[in-house]
Amino acid sequence: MIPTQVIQTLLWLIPLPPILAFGIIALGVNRSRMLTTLTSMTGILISLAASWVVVLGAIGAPELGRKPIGSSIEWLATGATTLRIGAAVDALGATFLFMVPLACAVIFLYSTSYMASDPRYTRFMGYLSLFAGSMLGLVVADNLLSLFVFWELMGFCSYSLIGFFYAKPSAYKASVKAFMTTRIGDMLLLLGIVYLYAETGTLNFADILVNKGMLEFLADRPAILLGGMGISAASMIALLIFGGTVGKSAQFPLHVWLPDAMEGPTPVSAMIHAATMVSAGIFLLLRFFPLFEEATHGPMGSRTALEIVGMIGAITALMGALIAVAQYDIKRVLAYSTISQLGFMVAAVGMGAYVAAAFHLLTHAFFKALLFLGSGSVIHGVEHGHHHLHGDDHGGHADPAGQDDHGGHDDHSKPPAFDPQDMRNMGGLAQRMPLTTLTFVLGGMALSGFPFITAGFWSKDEILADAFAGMASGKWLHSVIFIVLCVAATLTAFYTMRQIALTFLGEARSEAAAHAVENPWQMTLPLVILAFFAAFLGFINIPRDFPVFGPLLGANAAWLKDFLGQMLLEKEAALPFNIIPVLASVGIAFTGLGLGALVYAAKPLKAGQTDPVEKLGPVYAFLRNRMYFDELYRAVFINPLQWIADHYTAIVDRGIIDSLLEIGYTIGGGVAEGFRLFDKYVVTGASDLTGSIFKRAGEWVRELQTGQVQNYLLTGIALAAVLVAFYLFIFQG
Amino acid sequence: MTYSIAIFIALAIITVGAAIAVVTLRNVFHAALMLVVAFFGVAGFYVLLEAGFFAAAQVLVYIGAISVLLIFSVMLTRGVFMAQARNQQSGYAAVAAGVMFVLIAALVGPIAINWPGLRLGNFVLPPRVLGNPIEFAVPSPKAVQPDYLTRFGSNLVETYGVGFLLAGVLLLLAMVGAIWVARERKLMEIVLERREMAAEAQAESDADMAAGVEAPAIPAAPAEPAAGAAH
Amino acid sequence: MNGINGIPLWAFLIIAAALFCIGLYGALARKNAIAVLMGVELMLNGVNLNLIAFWRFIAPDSSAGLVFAAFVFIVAAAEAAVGLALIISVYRNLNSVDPEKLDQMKL
Repeated sequence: MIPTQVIQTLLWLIPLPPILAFGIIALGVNRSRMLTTLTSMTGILISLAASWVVVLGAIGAPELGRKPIGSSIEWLATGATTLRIGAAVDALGATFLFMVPLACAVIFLYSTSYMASDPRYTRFMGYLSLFAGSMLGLVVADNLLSLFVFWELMGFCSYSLIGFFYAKPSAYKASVKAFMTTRIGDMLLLLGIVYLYAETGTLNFADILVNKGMLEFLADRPAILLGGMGISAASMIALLIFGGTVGKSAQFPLHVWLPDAMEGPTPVSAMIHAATMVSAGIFLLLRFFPLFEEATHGPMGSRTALEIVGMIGAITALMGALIAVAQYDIKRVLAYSTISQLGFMVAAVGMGAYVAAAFHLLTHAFFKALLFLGSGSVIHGVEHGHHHLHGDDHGGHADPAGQDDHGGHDDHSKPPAFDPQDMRNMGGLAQRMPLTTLTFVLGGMALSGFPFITAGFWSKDEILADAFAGMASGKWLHSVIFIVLCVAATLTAFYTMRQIALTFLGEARSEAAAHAVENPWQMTLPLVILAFFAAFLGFINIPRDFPVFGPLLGANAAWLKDFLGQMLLEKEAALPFNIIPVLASVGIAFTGLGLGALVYAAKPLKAGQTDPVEKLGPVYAFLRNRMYFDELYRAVFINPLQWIADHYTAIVDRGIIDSLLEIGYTIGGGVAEGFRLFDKYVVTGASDLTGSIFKRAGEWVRELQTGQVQNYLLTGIALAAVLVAFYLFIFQG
Repeated sequence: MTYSIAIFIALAIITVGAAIAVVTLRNVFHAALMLVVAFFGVAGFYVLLEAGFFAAAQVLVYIGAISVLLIFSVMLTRGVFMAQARNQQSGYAAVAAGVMFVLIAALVGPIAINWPGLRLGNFVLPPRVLGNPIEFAVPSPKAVQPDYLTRFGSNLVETYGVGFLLAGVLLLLAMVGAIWVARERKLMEIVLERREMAAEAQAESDADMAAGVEAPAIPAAPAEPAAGAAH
Repeated sequence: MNGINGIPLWAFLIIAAALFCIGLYGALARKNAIAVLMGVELMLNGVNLNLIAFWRFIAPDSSAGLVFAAFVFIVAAAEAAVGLALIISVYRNLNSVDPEKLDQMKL
């Protein structure tokens, strides 16, 4: 039993070490790689230790759901109310505090080897530390505003890490895309925050989300927009907040940034996909689940908000799984699979399966981090093999530690560039990289839900069981979700098998793959740690009446459900055990894996042979090109805006004003010669005037940018004078 | 009491006059000397306000330190010849300063005469922006407690302790920063540093250009010019 | 008796406002960076006079006003030190202390 005060103090300190590490690296030790490694690892390990102490304490605390442990200080006095910031932990937070720092720590360890030879290694570790620190801050935040601050900080970190290789055009484009796309969601979230604050006068989670009176107040109040249509304020706020999740957790239709985020180094992908970015979105959604739930009650009650969430999740799950089938880039497959799995979680929230969603998020974080780090290991190995072959350009190619210069010094001189991420260039890696293969297969099995011995099975089964229970009681949403998720899960198992077979089985399809070697321990140890959790984490939440496993674990079987269940005002009833969804998930896993094995593993692809998926023709092309989402967005949103921006002067000046004047001119000239003078002095004069006004305005505005500090100061003073005058003489508040 | 009013008026004339001289005198050295006079005037106001400690601090900090620093800087930059004392925007600047003064006076006005405001229908000039009615027109304020300085001192390290510490850090940083920025550097040193920076930028951009694929890796090449620096 | 020794609050405020605005003019209009700094110092003095006057008249029991004034002193000292160091550094490089010449950062 850990004293409450210790927890309260530690909570404040959890996000601090990585953020401090960022500061130290940025300002102090960025000349030394060794010190950088030391600083960043120390930072994250301290956070890990503090977090786990907090988790242990939180587990022992009574009534954690209603009374989160935490403390807060006064931050801003806003008129009559004060804004407090603080750090708190409740059951949901504790669950995340278990997962996030652990995943971050292994990713850090991995990065120290993976990025070791990068010239900007120190910068990378600095950003990574800040990234981890902001995620931890987000988890311990006890109010929506500080959560939002860390949320945006993470947006910035992901921007700079995705675009880490900024000399590569695709990388910086991807970073801008990620930033701009998530910005749409963030804007909605900000609106939600403002609306929530306007309605309740507080942003503290405990004041809103475990306060029945507050929730009812929100649920009974018509929304400012669409209030007449029976939308309550609770629904409106919930949906606006869900907008943030859609952006951050890459849900349809804002999912387009996540696959492109692959341009970042692989540890960043693991970070984004497992420990930080996308988890943050789901975390927010889970946090505000009581609000969604409450919106269904009362006179204004409707399931609209939850139904929208559920449908978006289902669409995303299916879409991601479909696209993943037709990708060749080893990381892109995983990216789409992340989108799909996040869809599972969002759909689960939409069905009201709170615990199932959190559980799947937890297990997914581990096996997806494992898969990403595994794919990074593969890429690193293949690159190494590539350099082994073409190493004559530069010395040191035979470095067994895999630390010599990969990268493509020689990619320049040898078009076409070799793509070490393309699965068509792999194959047969099982013999060369046994540990990577073993752990990757384990992660893949967890992803496809291989029965009983993987965590993914238990969490996916939980979602399907919830969906099935709803279907059995005749709810349309649950029925749709159950069917869609079954299809998506089958596809998941199929593309996972495809990926494993293409990467590890058969013969090497390129020289580079034939010369790949296993990586050093800093890269394989994280895989082993993650593999452990990917296999066994499922046992913290097994239905009590599940045959064999339930009785075996006894009272601890559905531990997570009890723990997280405290968060909800109305506890989820334990579902009676039903054999159908279990059979369905077992069947799905085996069908998908079997199909995959039949197509890919039985007859491994030879070099030059086309992938059987390509026989699907137009369907393949459709999926291969990611359902043309990027093209669609480009055509519908980006190009028109760009066009308007490009042609603004042409439209307004020459198009509208000039043609108006042209018409006037023609009429004036045609009516009579006597109007010539009028024409000359009025029409032409007006046109000159219009032109010169715009020109003058342009010149005037341009002159404001003199670069002279006293000039700027004068402008600022003038503005201040206007404001003071406004408040003195005009504003009558 | 009439003495104090007389003193006040004299101080006001001296201070404002000196201040105007500071901003108008062509010779910066003379301006700095007038600034000392203005600082003394402000210290006199502090005495009138019964804040003797701050009067002393004003003399020590502003006149003892800041003015001396300013005068030193003026002497260090003696080589500059200024054709005129004011820049091109001085006219606008005068207008801005004047408008600012009028606005502030309009804020002070209600305090001065406890003016309820000029009513034109619904329009009140000026409105009571700071509460209704403005409570600043204290006819006779309370006397200062004799131990005000003691309490000020203990407050500074207790209630406002964090700010006090931060102020200390700020002063330290300002000192270190000032020394760093204004340190004398040999020409050769600057040239070498520039060269090293250029080489680093070059190495980095080379690495980026080469980064066709992930995990690029130039082993951080020790900057060549560093060796050349020995010659 | 009105005010402190017969001097009302507004008198101090007007003097403070005058110092502030004169300093503002100096900061905006002088052609010598050191003179600009002098203007800034005058502005800070105006602010400080304001703070102390309000402390004396409104809240002589609380030390908040004095603490504010003390911080203004500290900031003024730091600002003068760094500002003058920058000016000296600029003077060494450009042989000029004219703020109008310092627009190299402009594209």
